[in-house]
Amino acid sequence: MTNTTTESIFLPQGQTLEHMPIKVSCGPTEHEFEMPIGITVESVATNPYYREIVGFKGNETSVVNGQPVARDYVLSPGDRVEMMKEAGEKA
Amino acid sequence: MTEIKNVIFVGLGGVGKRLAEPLCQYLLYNSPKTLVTLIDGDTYEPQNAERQMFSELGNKAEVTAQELKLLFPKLAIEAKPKFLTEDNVFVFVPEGSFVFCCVDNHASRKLLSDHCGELEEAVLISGGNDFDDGNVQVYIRHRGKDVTDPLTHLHKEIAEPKDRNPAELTCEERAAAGTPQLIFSNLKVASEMANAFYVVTERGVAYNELYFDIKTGAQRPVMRRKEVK
Repeated sequence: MTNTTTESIFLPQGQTLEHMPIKVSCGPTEHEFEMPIGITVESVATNPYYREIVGFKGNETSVVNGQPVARDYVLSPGDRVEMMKEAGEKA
Repeated sequence: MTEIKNVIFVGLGGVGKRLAEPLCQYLLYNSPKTLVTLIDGDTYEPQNAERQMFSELGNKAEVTAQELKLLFPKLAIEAKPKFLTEDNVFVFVPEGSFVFCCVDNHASRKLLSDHCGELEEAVLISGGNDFDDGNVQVYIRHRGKDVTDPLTHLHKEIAEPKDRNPAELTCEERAAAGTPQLIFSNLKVASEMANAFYVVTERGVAYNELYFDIKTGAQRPVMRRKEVK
């Protein structure tokens, strides 16, 4: 009989779904999420749930632990992802 | 307190004007020999009264200098009724300056950041807001090295500004570049710039950028780079 759990649909056979804490910020807002191991910055940037909670657009410069990274950067447990908010222009 | 020879305000609009008075009051009692320089080529006009307080119409630097001299006659205050440009930044922002960048365009922020990056000693505190959120950046140079990141670091909108220095614009273009602003956002930026000044001079560097959002009450200080260049 075929295993039809959610995990078996998205993960290679025999691999279990594990999560890791990742902090995501944009401007004044920062939240910690439990994210699947192996997730990329691109997946975070395009995820509507994270976008809604943290308040980013998805096209911002991506920064991990203070350094700019490519969108295919694979996140590690404890990483801090920042979607760079533009500086206020007026004064 | 760190010795302060020069405090320079670039921009005396909704943020700079609010910031100048409490800073002068603070300097009078904590660093009375400081020279305060006000730089702005723009003029106060009746429509500015919604967010800005001024005793008369005229050049913003000159009008503000007159007002501050009345309030703080023992403090040395001078006005430079010019926009900051590549041609005068070397004269107006000398070595060892504390600079408050209160301008309304990224081209001038880049100009100041690049210039401070060539100085041995400088502190540049820059603030800006959109309608109801904003940020403050703190760029510190010490012994010819970056202690914190320049304003352009990770901020492409400043590194490659799409706007122009106000000195390059006509009066009509400057007026057209204005967008609606909230006086409370200006106050918040001014307050956080003053706080950053206090932190840098009295406590040491705690953050190199601070974001706020008036709508949510959220505020977040950021220190992005741990290693000193």
